[in-house]
Amino acid sequence: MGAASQVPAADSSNGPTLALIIALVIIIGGLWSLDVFLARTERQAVESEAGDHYRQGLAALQRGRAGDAVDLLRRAYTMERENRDYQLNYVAALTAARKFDDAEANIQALLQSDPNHGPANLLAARLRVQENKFADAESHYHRAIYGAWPENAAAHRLRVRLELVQLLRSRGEHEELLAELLALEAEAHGNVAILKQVANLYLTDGSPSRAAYVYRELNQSNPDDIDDYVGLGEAELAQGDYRTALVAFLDANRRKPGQLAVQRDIGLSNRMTALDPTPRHLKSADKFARSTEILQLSRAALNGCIGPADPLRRMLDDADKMLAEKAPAHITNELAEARLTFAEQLWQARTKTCGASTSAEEQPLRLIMAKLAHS
Amino acid sequence: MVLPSPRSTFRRWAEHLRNSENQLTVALSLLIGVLVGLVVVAFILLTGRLAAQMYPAGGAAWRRVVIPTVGALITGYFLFRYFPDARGSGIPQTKFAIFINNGYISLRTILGKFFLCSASLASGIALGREGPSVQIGAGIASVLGRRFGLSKESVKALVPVGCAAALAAAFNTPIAAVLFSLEEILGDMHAPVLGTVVISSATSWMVLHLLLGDEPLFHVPAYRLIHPMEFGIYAVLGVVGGFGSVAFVKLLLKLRTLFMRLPKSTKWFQPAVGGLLIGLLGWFMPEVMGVGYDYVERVLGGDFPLKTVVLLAVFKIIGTAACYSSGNAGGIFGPSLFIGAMLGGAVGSIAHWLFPTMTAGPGAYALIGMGTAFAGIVRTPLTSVIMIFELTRDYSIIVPLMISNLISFFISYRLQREPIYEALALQEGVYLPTGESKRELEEIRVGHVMQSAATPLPPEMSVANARRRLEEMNRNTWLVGQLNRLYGIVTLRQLQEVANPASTLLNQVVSPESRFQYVHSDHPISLALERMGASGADALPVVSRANRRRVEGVIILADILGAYGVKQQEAVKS
Repeated sequence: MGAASQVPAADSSNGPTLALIIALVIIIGGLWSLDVFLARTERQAVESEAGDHYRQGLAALQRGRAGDAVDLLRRAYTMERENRDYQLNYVAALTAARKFDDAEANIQALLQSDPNHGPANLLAARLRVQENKFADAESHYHRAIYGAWPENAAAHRLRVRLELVQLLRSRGEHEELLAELLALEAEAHGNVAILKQVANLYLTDGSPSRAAYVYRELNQSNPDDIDDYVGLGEAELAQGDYRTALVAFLDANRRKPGQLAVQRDIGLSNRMTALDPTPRHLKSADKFARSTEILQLSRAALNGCIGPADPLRRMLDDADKMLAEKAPAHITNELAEARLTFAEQLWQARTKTCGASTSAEEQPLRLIMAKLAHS
Repeated sequence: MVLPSPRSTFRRWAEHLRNSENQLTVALSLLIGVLVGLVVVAFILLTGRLAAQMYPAGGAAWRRVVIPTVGALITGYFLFRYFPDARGSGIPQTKFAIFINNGYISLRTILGKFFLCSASLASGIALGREGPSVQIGAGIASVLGRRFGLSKESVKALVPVGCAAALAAAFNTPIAAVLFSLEEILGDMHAPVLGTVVISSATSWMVLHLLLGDEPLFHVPAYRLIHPMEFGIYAVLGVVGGFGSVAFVKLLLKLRTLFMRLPKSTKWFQPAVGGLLIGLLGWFMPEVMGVGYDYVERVLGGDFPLKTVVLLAVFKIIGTAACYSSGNAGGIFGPSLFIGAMLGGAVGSIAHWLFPTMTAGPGAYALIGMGTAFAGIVRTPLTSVIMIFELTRDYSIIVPLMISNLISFFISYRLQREPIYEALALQEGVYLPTGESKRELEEIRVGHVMQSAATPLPPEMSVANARRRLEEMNRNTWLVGQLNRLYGIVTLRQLQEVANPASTLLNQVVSPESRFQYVHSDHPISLALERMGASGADALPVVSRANRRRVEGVIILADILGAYGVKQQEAVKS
């Protein structure tokens, strides 16, 4: 270290000369050009390396190697902090690797800089689901739906709402679910795939009339799609409109004959039409006969469900007594109603004891009971 | 009407600037900011590119041993043969320039520092780029000051301006750069160069932003205090950081002493020893090589196992101490931050393992650890707090940072009295005034040293008697007037110039309204010394703040020198 090196004296007679100023301008220009060149080279190298890490990270994430994905995507993100895709996928990898604290910190940083960022809110929602914070998750889903998306915003919003619907469905939140389905239906704007899912969800989650409406819309826009006719038929079956259901299944069969499932549905519709005790102009005798059959079916359902010493056997005895009673010469509606009421009691006892019925054998009875419960 | 030619306009402007050194200094501080910003950005980018070429992705492990060894051998030869002043960090050299060489740093040193340091750091030598940047910046300021014909004093005043510009660009921390220039380089937070230092720092920072955009050096997740108990853990971190800092500084100084004892003929290849050692350490842990900011960022993100961070802290302490002491070109700023981050990460990992619900992740502690080690090693506590804040832009860390910094600083101060740069200078046989020693001296006030029983010469006294009186007192200056109505001061030369001393009265030489040099009792004695130097007087009146013509005492040069520990024979006699 030359602490006491020879020091030439400053020449105070010198001043800023034109040559010095020109030289400085040239030096500054040269340095600027050099810096710009180096910065560009550096940026290209960094972008290329980050891109490699990103691609490898995504591949690892898709293959379920979350730990590797975290490492690679973090490297990519560290190199290019401005790249939101890198950051978002890094958070996704952290969530997949169950590193919730790190994911949380990163997602919070992202949301602080842009609270309205759709993809970030979607990731935050998924993170909350993983953490079992469902109320927060729903809130983030909504922010994602109404937030800003860099591209294909409408498609992304539909996808997010569908994801929210699945969450609500899995959590059994029916009212919220139906509200989301209505919004989804309104936003689908002719998106057949989404409308099919919406109709199906309506059907499976307690709104068959709305399902039937959507299926009819779909029938109009795409008359050759038999799935929509089948869906309509199922919706009508669920509503108890067996004749209309039969028409829908027949339409499906006409467009694509020989489908076993459709033929089964036609058979079921015929059976339901024959079993239905509720048509307005049905004769009392017919209604009595159908009620008797329904009572027999209910009895059989309960009998198949309970053990030999079950106290509910008394109900079976009562049913047997009722069934054994000879029909009077003049059959009234009240007689039929009495049998139907008792059949409903048997069905309720069966459901209470053995849970909801899922067997195909009991499907006609199940549909009838659902209709009676709503009528 | 005839318009003046551009050449004549420039001449007039140049003449104007030449005649007004203050304006020229301000203009130069802008120019220095631009130039230093550009050079430091080039330095950082060039180092990065070179490193990428030397260590391509997926490169073989042998490179990590061979490249730093060969690199240190080559740069060591050039440093020995052509650029001896470009060795080491650059901070002590810059201070030498200010305190010994009138602000002189040669262009050759700047070029040597730029290219050799860049090659050295790119080859994996475990040193930092900020210290060298500071020397490069200071050198550019020095060269520009001389080329523009500034006086030695003005050139000297420009050196911290270049330092601030360099640090602002190297660290992306404009405020910390200003503080560092004042706190460490000048050791005076109230230095009159504050304005120009701020201008150059801001200008350089703007250049950096224009070229590289608005990116902090480290991206850190937002940390928050989870539980008040964490303050206790940050205090523990301060203790660990303090001991770690002392270990690093002592090891570095010890190794340097050993290297300095070796024959001079070995000096050119001594850096290769550091290169080989860091290569061997890098064989096992590549993270320890080079500046290592990538890995610091990973630790700040809370992403390193405990064993790794502990090993990295130990390896970096050994590697950096060996690289520096063997004479490689590079600084200790970066390694300080690295060591601190690893120590913090280790403390944070243990704390989080023990109290998972009451503590933040290890990354938060790594963040505080950086400042802690910086405060312990470089011993600039204020700069370290502001620097870490600027590096991370996270306000929530300030209080924990202050706690652990203070503890680390205190431990370091107790166990290693000399700050590292002053200790390095002492090894060179140079005593640099430290901020602490300056503060100690500044604490001595005029009131502590002044003589209260001052009797001014009566205004009615003849000049001849007054001359005799001054000669008896062995003074060249004394007070004239009464204790409650001071006329001013009179010098022996003034009295000797009077034609008829016997018939001339003092009030004819010094009027009751005369202007004179004086001090107040609460002034530092350095100011009294400064004013004595300016007026050539060896005594000054100490006057009341309420009425400057009321005498409270007198301060004389011999007493001031005595307070500084410098006794003159004459002073003792008097």
